[in-house]
Amino acid sequence: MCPDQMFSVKDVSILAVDDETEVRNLYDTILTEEGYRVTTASCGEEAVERIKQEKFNLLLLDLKMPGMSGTDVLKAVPDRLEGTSVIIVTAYPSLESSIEAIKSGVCDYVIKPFSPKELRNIVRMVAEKAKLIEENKKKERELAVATAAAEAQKLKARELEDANEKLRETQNMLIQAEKMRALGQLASGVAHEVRNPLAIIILGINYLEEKLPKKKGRNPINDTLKIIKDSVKRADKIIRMLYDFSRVTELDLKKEDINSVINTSLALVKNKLKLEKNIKVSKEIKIGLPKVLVDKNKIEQVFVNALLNAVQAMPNGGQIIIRSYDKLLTEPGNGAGNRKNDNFKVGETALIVEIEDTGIGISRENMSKIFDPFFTTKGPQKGIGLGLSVSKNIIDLHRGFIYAESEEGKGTKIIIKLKIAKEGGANG
Amino acid sequence: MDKKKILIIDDEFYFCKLVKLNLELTGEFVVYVANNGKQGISLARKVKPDIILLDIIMPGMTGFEVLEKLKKDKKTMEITVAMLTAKEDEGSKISAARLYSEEYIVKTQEIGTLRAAINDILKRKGII
Ligand SMILES: Nc1ncnc2c1ncn2[C@@H]1O[C@H](COP(=O)(O)OP(=O)(O)OP(=O)(O)O)[C@@H](O)[C@H]1O
Ligand SMILES: [Mg+2]
Repeated sequence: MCPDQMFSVKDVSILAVDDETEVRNLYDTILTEEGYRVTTASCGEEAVERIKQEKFNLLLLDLKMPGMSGTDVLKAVPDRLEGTSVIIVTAYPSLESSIEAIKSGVCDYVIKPFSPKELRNIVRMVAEKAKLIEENKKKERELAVATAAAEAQKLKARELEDANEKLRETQNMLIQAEKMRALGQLASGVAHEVRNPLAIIILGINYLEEKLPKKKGRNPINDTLKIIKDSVKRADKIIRMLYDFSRVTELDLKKEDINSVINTSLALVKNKLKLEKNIKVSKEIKIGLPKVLVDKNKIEQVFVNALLNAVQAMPNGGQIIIRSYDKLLTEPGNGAGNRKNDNFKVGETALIVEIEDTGIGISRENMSKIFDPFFTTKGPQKGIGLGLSVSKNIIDLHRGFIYAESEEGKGTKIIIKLKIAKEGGANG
Repeated sequence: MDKKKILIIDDEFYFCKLVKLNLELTGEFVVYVANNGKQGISLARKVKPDIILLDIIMPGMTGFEVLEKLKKDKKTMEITVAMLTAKEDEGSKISAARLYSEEYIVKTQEIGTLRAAINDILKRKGII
């Protein structure tokens, strides 16, 4: 059973709380348009009254409001909110308020200002999850009844149990994905605050560079300035990664020629490749491939992440091969088939990009972890372990598939399957 | 060539101070600083800068509120405004476009890049 089929927005009721009229109107327009039942409240007190009167599936809650704050609302009627999914909407999440909110059972975050698309995506994700959990509870009750029934019912119980197991699996997956997102949102909120001081440090260094007496060649002052600057840039890079990680929910889709996306990605890492003397890069490109409907920048990011990983896996040099071709999928597996996560059908033609290296490879044990956020074997100076997890988010969002094949000591191949764009119209 | 007048409205005191020091060092600009929206609007009316660099997230009046006030005021509506942001952000871009903001400048970068971005905008607007 696929959640898309059992999910109907019509039975989802939403209470949207914000003290700004404009934001409330935005909620009303966008979410009603989507088919949800929307009620709004302009302050915490009003929200509490509404919650007492009606049970909502979903609560969109502003944190900062005059009078009763968002967290006050959550604390005021915890019993009535059982089974309600809460999404916090805030301009500027402080670490403290975020943690407090998560403790009181908040599902997700939206950072203001948000785009309609962002809002739609998040609400849909949370609503789907809530529905699944509800459905699951119902099944669990049914299961209890069934197990209690006579021997003859055993068969039925088995069926229900299977269904239940499947549902639980899906539910866990969704919860996991959402936790990651909430974590990312949190990180990006904090990251934002850190970027300001970093900007100031950089400007400070720039001023000193101009003002300090210029000595020729290497000297301790210039060296020190350069070290500070490099370090700030490193911190900034980490923050940008965290930020990227949190916000792969929107795509700017256009029909693209994948080979030209490959070329730009290679151009982006060209300098890096030049520094590594013994690395040879070759392309095995099929020309005249059908177009793909992708967000070019995001797919570039995926290729660049994989290319950098390949470079980092070959400290003593080696070879990188980047391939593109199309392929008729004749067997289930690796994203093809009838399971929930299978984005491809058997018998469908997919566009495939491979990035292969002759580096150190990945151990069996690590193979299952490499797409996890913050999994890295490179140590704090070199990696934060977000490259592949961001890539996976991006490819999932494109309804594609990414996986790795590797042998320790021999090399690694990252394989990316993409959907071929339909003929006609700009959006395929 | 006349020195171009820049007004920077940002609650980060140190950020403003260092942008001012750096930009004035080049001899091409005079930089005025306001640390909140209200002060920024009155300074904009007084000095008529060639460009305003406006931070988005500020306590009190937010950058978008300031922008709206500037664009509704006859004395300041013609002035080019560039929003300063700590990150590239779709959501903010949409809000800004709705409020007829013209430009975007990302904060965390070296002064050279910042200066190039400012010059670029000024050129496009035909100010230099
Ligand atoms: N081509 C590869 N060869 C060998 N190991 C790889 C390769 N690609 C990924 N890995 C393994 O997977 C881990 C996770 O990769 P990922 O790109 O997510 O993070 P990272 O490279 O460690 O850090 P970051 O990309 O965030 O700087 C790596 O630390 C490495 O152990
Ligand atoms: Mg990496």
